[in-house]
Amino acid sequence: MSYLEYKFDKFVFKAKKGLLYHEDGCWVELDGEIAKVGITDFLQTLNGDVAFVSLYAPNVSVKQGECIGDIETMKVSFELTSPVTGKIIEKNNDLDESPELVNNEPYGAGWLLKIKTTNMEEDLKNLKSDEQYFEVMKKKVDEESEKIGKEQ
Amino acid sequence: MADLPKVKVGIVSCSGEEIPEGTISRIATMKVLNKLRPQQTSTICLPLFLAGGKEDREFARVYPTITVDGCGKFCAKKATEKYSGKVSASINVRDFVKEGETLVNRRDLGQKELEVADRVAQEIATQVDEIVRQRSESIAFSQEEDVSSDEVSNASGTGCSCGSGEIPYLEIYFDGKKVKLFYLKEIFDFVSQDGSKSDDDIAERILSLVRTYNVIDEGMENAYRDAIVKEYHAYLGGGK
Amino acid sequence: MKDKKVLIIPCSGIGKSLGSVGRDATYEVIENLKPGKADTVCLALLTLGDEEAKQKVTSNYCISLDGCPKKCARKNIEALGKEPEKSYRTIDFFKDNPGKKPQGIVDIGEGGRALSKSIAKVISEDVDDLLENGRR
Repeated sequence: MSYLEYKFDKFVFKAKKGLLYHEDGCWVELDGEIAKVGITDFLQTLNGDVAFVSLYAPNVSVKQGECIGDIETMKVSFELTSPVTGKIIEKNNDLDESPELVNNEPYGAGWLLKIKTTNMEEDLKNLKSDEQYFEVMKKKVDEESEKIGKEQ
Repeated sequence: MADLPKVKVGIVSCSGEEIPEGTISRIATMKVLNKLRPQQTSTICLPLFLAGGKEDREFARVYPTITVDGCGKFCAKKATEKYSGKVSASINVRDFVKEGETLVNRRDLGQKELEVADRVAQEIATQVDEIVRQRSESIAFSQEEDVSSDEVSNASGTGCSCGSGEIPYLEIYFDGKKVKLFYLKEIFDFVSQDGSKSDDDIAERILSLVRTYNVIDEGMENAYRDAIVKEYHAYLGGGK
Repeated sequence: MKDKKVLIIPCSGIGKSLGSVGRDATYEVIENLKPGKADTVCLALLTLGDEEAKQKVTSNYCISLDGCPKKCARKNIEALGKEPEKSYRTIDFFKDNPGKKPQGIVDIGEGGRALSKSIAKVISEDVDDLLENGRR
């Protein structure tokens, strides 16, 4: 596994190579027409320790840019936006007991959903490559620098 | 134009569960972090640091640290020196307690304890200012500039995008051993922009910048100076 | 067993409200619910090898109370060769009490204090159990 890394203070923000990224903070790993979806390292670091993950169930149809669930952390609650269009085929049930997987392994065991895609050709226009996302991520880190690693 | 990362100061607070001074130390540290000097400081979580927190230990190795202790056992100072390096300033909360004053509350601080916390916070902020001033002197960077301006945000980028996740460093040979100096390449690039200057001027400038990001033991500066200037010329000549 | 106390050892993590909640819950137990039966010890002092702190831990029961999944309090105690009789994470109590959300690190707020009380109640029952029955 390799990553693009950006260091800020004592934090290292990672973007996993080979994934696609949506501007709202979810990544996509494509395997044929199946998309595995999760949140980025930046999003999990910014928002703090995950306490609850609520996701739409299998068989629900979703569209790119629409809500697929929400995450509550010790700092905030935020909605998750689907990076692709299709039907949910699997939910990561490990997150019920161990939501900290989202923090500890955002690109691995902390994945959220698997979606069978139906509109990838169009959806790709709104997804960034790993390197494109990395540039966006660096800017976001600098913009949000006062909030990173801090609770009041 | 070559950039150097902005100086940040790590604050390591004791947690002192058994005494009010431990709580005061925490409150004072958070006040500095969130209100008094949010841009210039970062906190280091002492229990995580002690449990082996890699990022916290490395941060404390590279950046200057201020430890805030609640008593004469100096746990925060000892831990930082054990796992990372010499601290830039050490504060003991007890030095800010008025003679004859007894502190009682360790959970919800009373008026007395809050006043002590304020005094400690002010002292931490003063120390932060002094450290940042000393270490930033050689970098043409004003701490009072609007940090939202493009020029400043470009010049003060604290991120390293070298791809490795490690803080960049170069190794030099010094006193028969290899020594790692953080940001040395960046310092060389920065100094080389100054145009021709005497070797003495160059040496002073480089050493001053090296001290910003690395701990140089007292009395070793002259020896470091010679080694670093040699490396600098080799670097400019394409030796690295 | 008669002379033994139960030491509640919070992580006191400064970066997160969960650390502050654990600390507050500790004080609730040792000052209000079980004074004289429960006590605490400075985690840093213990980890740095203070003999008095080590002696306190080895001759009493211990409950570690960590703020987050990193479990620094537990790890630091285990590094001394002692296994806490009980180990808790504040975040797990929050999962069972989602309405009791701490608002911050310096001031944990109403939600944080309510969460702290819930934690303290459970731990004080452990205190009684340990003093009555010892380690199981």
